[in-house]
Amino acid sequence: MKSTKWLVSLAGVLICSSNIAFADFTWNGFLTVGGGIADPDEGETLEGYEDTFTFQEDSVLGLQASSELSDKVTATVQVLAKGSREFEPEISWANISYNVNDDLMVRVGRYQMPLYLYSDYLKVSYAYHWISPPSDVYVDVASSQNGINVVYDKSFSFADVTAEFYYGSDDADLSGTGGTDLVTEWRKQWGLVGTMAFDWVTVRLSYNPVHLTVDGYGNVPLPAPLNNIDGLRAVLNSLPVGLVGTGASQVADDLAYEDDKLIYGSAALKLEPGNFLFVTEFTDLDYKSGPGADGNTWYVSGGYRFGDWMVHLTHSESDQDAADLSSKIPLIPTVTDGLIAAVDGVTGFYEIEKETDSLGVRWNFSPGVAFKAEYADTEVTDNPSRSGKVLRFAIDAVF
Amino acid sequence: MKLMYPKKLLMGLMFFLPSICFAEITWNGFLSVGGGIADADEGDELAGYEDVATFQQDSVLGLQASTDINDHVSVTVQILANGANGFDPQVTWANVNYQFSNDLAFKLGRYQTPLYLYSDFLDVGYAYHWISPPSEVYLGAGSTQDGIELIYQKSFGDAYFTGQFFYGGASEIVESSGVDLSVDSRKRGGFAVSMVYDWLTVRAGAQSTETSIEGYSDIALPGVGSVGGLIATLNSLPVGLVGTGAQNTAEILAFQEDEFVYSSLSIKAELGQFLVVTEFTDLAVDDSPAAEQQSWYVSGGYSFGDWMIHLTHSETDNEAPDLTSDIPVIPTVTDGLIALIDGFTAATAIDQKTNSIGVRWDFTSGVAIKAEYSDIDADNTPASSGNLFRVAIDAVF
Amino acid sequence: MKKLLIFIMTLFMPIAVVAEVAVVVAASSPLSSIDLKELEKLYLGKSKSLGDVSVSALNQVDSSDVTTEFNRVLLNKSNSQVKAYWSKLVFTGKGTPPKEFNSDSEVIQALKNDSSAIGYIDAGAVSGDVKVLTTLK
Repeated sequence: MKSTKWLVSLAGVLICSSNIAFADFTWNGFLTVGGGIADPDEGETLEGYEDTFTFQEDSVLGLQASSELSDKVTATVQVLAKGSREFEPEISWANISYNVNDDLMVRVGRYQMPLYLYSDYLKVSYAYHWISPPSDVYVDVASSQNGINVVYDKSFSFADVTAEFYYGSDDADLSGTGGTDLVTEWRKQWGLVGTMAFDWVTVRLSYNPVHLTVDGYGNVPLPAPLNNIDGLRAVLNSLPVGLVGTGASQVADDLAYEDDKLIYGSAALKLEPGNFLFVTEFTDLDYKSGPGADGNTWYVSGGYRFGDWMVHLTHSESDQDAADLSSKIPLIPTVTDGLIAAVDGVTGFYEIEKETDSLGVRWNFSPGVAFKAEYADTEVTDNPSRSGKVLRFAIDAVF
Repeated sequence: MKLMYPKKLLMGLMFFLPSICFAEITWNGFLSVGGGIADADEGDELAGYEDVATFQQDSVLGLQASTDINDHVSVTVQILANGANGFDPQVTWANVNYQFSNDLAFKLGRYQTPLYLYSDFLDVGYAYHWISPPSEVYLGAGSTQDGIELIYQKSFGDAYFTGQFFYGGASEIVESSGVDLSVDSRKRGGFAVSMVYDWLTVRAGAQSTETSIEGYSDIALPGVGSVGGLIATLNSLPVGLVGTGAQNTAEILAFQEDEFVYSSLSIKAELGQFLVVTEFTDLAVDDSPAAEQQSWYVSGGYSFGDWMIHLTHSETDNEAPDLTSDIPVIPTVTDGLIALIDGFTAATAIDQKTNSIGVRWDFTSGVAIKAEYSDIDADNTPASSGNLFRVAIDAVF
Repeated sequence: MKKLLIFIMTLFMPIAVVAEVAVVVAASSPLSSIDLKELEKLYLGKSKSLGDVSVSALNQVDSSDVTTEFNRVLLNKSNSQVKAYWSKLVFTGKGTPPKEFNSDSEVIQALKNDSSAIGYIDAGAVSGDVKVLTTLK
């Protein structure tokens, strides 16, 4: 919480001093104050909310400073403090951009990856109709990286075209199961994103491969006598090849969670005819190796705008299939059956089938300020503690 | 690294700032984006880089706000986010400066310890020719402290003299050997004096601290479990058999209030298009498991237009402490322990040499692009030796 | 009581006087005509020129009626929608919205100082310092 205090103080400095001239900085900010209450089918928490009213989960403050170093060079810094992370400030953007010409920009440094349609402004709630984009698709993971990002943006007579390329790396902390501290190491991470907008139709495609290592994964606890995943790997490696073939040691390698290639892909379509909004997006996550689950997620959302009001309905689904590692190990009763179950337990941890229906309303009560309310019904198959209903409210501001 | 010394003081300063709305706040910032690839002689990591391109190690962002409260008093806060540390923002400066006169100023709060020549602006890559100052000298030197500082600046004819005198303390968390260590430096006092005469800068400084490391006993050791296990084993040896030597060694291994004395001497010459800079540093310790160090570098550069090329050689020579000479060698009783202790202290005293060649291009005012190639040779330690290629963009705004 | 009633009524009344918006440049500007499609792209940050002439766009503050009318007629968006549009660009480092001015007279002054700028003002505020390229209604 200490960081909350200093961030609030910093914000105080900014706000109180917003009337005075900064050397060469342009300041912008966004703020969402969200609150909600959950009614889980089992237990007391759901989607970050509890059975009493809390204000942490969707609240977020972003402050951005940019400075033009020359006609073509700009430095941009964005600090983000999320309620869901105790308002611990994080640097989401810190880069130097170079405008080669009106259409082409190259930037180096830290930036948010444009994985999916709403990814690079995921926390700027004012910019979209929901309180937050469907969580079945937009899992709150570290989405900034360090590297190089090239953006080509040109308006042709037939369409506005945006093409983006990025390449970089990042390390991010992740708290794993059983309280194990994990560090995800994203390497050789690049992506290609294409967007075309014809009048009220927007089409977007993205392709994003990466090599992922999860440092500390071997320490994730398992029941005795294996104790942890490294223990399971040691047993798998100790099985005689004559008896079980090379499959067991391959599975041991897969469970290392080291340098595993995965590919994120997404396709989105957005239609905005008149007062209607229709947006849908499909994503695909494909692990080429390792214990991570392949998944498909999608949502479809429709809204209608009248004056300063908008009502919207959304359906979203997430379907993550456990990686099938254990089939490489021959089933030998009393020798490998217990191990196969243990491997299935590890990979099965990531399996989930989830869907959400939501109804929401947005009211623009002043330019730069919006009020939102949303009711969502989530169902996770065979998991009542993650199923239930959530009612949320939010005030979004950009300044 | 996480600084955690008097939070209340910092909080006080931070809360104090918003109340001075009427004052004009000056904002400044610096941003370096570095990327590199390493080719280690053994393993796939070297100096924070890997065998694939990564962009964390030399990336750093700093934002600084300062305001003049009146003609004499100003307040400065600097927030630093290091890429190597997941861009986790830290308050590196938060101080009140009182200007007694044109020559004399007094600082209270958190400030950069002026340990070496480049320490004051260690993270501002734009301010020097390298991507980062030679690690043999500057590794672990980038620290701030909480306390007081007196700064005296005066011109004597063509010469400009600066004297800094400081006293305070710091606490930081460093990760080493897979253990989080809390390094507490108390009674950290010292001075730095420099004289700038036309093209010549000469600087000398020294500081002493009482250093304790919490968590040192958790460092893993084979056979005895950890350093803590080693201490217990040493203390359990019968005095009648081994004398008091073993207990003395156990006491030293506790790493409590060990006196560290740092000294440095540097000379910089900027002759027309040529730059030559050299710096010698010395770390002396007493009754400590830490190694004594002598480090130095010499760097030369040549500028033409917006470009500069430079060559640097740097070295660190470490002398492991002798913690075992007072323990009598008794086969099967103490010989194994002696070997273990000697091996442990030797591992912290690795000599290293680096040669590097680099180029800096001042791309536009406030923005520099740099590239550097380094050949690192750590004595008998192939995992810390190899080649490193780095590029960086430094901006100040 | 009567004042309060009028106040409440005005809250729910559509704006009675709809401003006519004049798109203007400095009298010395090389521009003499305008394509509305190009003007729209300019104000959405999708281009930085009109024809071959490099132009910087000037905006007025949200609270001004002329801004509301300009956004409605030219961009077919409410002020809130324009704000949401720019927040996507600003917070991804992809664009900076046109500079905002507080009044028609400030816009005219800025145009006088910069012949490569374009702005919009209430048609009733047009003076000899500026040239009207088109009127939006």
